[in-house]
Amino acid sequence: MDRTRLELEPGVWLDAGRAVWLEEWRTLAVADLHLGYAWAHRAEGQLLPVDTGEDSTERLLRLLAKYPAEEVVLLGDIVHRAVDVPALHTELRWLALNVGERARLRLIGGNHDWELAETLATANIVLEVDDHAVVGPHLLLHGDGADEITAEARLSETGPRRGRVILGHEHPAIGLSDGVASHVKCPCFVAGDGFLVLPAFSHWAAGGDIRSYRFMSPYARLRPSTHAVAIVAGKLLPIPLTKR
Amino acid sequence: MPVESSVSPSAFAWFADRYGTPTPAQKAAWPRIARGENILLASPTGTGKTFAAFLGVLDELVQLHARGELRDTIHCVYVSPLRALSYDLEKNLHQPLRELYGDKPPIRVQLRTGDTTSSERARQYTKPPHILLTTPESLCVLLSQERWLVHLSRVRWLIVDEIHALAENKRGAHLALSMERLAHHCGKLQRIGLSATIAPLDEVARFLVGTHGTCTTLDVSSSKKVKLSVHTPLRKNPYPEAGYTGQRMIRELGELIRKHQTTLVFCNVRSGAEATTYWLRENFPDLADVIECHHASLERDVRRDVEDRLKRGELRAVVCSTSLELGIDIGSVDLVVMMSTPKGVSKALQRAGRAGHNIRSISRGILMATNISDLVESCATVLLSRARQLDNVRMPESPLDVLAQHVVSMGCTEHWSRAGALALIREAYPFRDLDAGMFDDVLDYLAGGGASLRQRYSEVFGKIVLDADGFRTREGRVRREFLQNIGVIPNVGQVQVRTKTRLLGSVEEMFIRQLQIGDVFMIAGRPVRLEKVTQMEAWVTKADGALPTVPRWNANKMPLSNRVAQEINAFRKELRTAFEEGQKDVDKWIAKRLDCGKANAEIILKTHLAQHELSEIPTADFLLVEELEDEEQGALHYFFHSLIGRTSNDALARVITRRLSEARGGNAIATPHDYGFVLTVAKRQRFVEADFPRLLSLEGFDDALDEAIRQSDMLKYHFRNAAQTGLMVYRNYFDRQKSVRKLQWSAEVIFNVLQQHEPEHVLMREARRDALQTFIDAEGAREFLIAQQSKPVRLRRVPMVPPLSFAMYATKIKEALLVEDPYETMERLYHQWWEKIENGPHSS
Repeated sequence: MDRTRLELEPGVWLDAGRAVWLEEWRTLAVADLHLGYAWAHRAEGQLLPVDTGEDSTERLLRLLAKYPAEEVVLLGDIVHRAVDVPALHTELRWLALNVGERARLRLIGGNHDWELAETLATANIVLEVDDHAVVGPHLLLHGDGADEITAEARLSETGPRRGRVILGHEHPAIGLSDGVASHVKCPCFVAGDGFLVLPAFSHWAAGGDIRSYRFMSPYARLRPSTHAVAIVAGKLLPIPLTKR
Repeated sequence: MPVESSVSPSAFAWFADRYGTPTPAQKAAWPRIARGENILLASPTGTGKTFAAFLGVLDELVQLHARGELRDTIHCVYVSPLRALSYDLEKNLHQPLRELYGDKPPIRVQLRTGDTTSSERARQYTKPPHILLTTPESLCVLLSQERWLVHLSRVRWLIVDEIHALAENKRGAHLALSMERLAHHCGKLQRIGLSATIAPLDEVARFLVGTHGTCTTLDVSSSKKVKLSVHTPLRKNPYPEAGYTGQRMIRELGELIRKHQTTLVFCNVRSGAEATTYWLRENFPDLADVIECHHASLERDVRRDVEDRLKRGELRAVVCSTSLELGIDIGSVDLVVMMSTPKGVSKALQRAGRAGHNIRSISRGILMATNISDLVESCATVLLSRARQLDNVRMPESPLDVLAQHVVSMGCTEHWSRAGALALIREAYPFRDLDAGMFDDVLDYLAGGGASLRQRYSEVFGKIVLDADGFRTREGRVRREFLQNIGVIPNVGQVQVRTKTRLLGSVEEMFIRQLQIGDVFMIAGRPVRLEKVTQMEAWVTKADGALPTVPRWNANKMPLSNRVAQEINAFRKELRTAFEEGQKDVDKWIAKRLDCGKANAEIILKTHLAQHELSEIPTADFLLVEELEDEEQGALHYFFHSLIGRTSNDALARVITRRLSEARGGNAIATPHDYGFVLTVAKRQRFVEADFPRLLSLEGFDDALDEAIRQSDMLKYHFRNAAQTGLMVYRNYFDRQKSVRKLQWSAEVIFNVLQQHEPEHVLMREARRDALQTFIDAEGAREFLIAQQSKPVRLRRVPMVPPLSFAMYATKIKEALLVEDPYETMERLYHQWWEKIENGPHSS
């Protein structure tokens, strides 16, 4: 049994590579890349290691090798901060080129992306940054900024269509313990009534344990969460959530 | 040189007039200081250390002024680890100056600490003091500024106070580098170290004068009489039917307090101090107003209040953790009580030395033993202190994060050649063995990365600029930010606790997060109710009369010192022999051997006899491992009797647990303790004799330990500190980020990334070195295993928890959060267990 993927409902697949695959529309979606995280911190005076851990493009290509995707949606917080640093421009170009060769790349802006359009321009990347994307019955967005009324309205629209609001922003994680000596915190998906929260794609995201923290986004708050799907050692582990 | 002529006649006359005969410390120090020697003066509190060090200095300055030769530059730098010490000293030095000169003495003594306002700093720069009183951090701040180097180029004396409290940690390593830089800058520098009683004084002397300096050690510590004794509320029957020892202990403590004018009570952990204060007040309401609590997590004003009242003699008792161990003037204390063992002879002497605040009085210290192990340990401690068998000091070796900070500091004032910088750094004793390759790695890290990275990007945001010869620090923002982040004291997630009118102190964030609005907890010895929590503050109201939950600060719990461990082992061996040879009157022998009195001797005899019958008495000649089946849990407990101190047992237990896991699969819970450790496993993981060679093998020990701590919280904790000190993240960075609580871009994140991709990063190496030296003593564990190779292992099945394993077993039981439980739960267990012992193991 292939534990690296799990069918949440017909046509909606979760992948341990931190992505969701919308089969019918041949769309892959990931969230919260936070490209240039280390560089952004360096520009603030904090000497984080820059040569390590940045392999977003490589991981996206692996996903593209696995799924016949026609479209790849990046659900916001694509960069950590749009610092004017050549390394970031190169990283963005590398991603745009490699992924763009194989599928249509769509960018949705998150709260960290407010200067992204400019950065793309400086880096000579011709791509738009959108507010949201509609893929079949599903609504894809970052998850920040919406008020409860808007969120409620949108959830009410997608619901009847058998669609979900798919968002990022939360960096969900869940703590797992063997009851004895080990305790780990794993990134996870959170599935609820009419919504799906993606784990952060970036290795730099620590994540907040969803059992201790309230969601920030009304899309994840207004409806009950049913279960978490943790990514443990490259495999998926569904964990029912009692109350939220 | 006779003492009288080591200072000017007028100075000597002034001193004799005010203070009478010089103390032994002063007589020893003055001539040598006058001759320009470096000295380390080891001498207890109340023996005139201040004037031992300063009379000569003041005298010279007075003479210079009289001749019209006193320049506006810093002549003397005094460094102490506590700001409070410097405040006190400022007052003490101003006194003679005012007597000589009136209100505006021409000799300026000024403080420079983190509290100094910016206007004061500006004034200090324009008109520098002749004597500067400062802290290690502030000294480095000054050394990092070119303009201040001018004022620091003619320093003649460097005085380091409470040097023992610095030598054994990173703050000391930080100071050591500052000392060498100052010496290098001034050309000539006389160093005077003031220490309480610890050994080896030679090591501390090396620390003071650097790798190649010379130093005379003056040990006048026996000039003050310290009288230590052991007191236990245990009595004949250690676990009586009526009442709990905990309550009895509080009552007896209260009686001691009543019998004395002012008592200082030391507890090993802050939560203990809070709890003890609370219970003393409950049981002695008439004394409630004059019993106070004191520890470092309390707000400064609260602490100073207590200190002032203590000095004025208004308090009958102050219950503290380690906060009052060092030499702040606390007036006259006539009794020091240590609740349970202070874990080492030096600590016992240091603490007892706080009593009797002048040279002629005797310092009385009582160790209150609350259980059997405590009793034996306390007796051993007292014996050793009488023989002056003091603990060893282990200094951090070349801590790389401290080095990184100083490299940036050095580069602020000039360009350094690589060779020149390395040579200077190695003059600092903790860095004497710094590997040149490590130094280069630190330089690369600070430059923003290795050569290949720097080639690829025009800007890597490094702190320093490397060139063919050496380095300098980048100007502008890098330097400004650096000056704000000097120091090694880590920023733990703290929440300030306040009422509407007052700031009370701080408590760890973890603790507050466990509480709900309306919960009652204790701070400053008083119960308060939690009303509201924001990101950085917890608002509370007074809740007198309510039953509180005690905050558990993660203060380091001290491990047992090697010397005391050895002494206990020796005692056990002798006692065992006495049993085996069927000696008579063993209780009398114990009373004599431990000098503990008849009642204590009887308890000790009873317990060890039970151990002898149920199992056997462990000694250092073999490793006793007791196996106990826990029916209730369906588990097995293994009690390993390695009496090597908790930190060494922590290392040992981790390695053995790991090896067991490799051999048998599954997990094990290890609970380290000073006297050994407990391993709890599932039944199917049962040990056999044949397992031990592999479990206790020396081969692969280092790798096994490295693996064992790889993902540990402890390692992440050390990394977080190293990342802050090593300038990878800024201290106030965390405060800002904590407001984005959810995202938690924490050091843990960086740690995980480095663990995966760059585990040999300099700060990861430092985190490992720190972890293996501080909370875990890898060396201690290794030494034990080496010795164990030629000794047998004895595996014994036992029907119940044997007496000498009980302390370890009890440690497994989680500390309940209610104030009453630590005493009462433990008591209940002891009681039940003792009943079983009395009635024989086969009843129950």
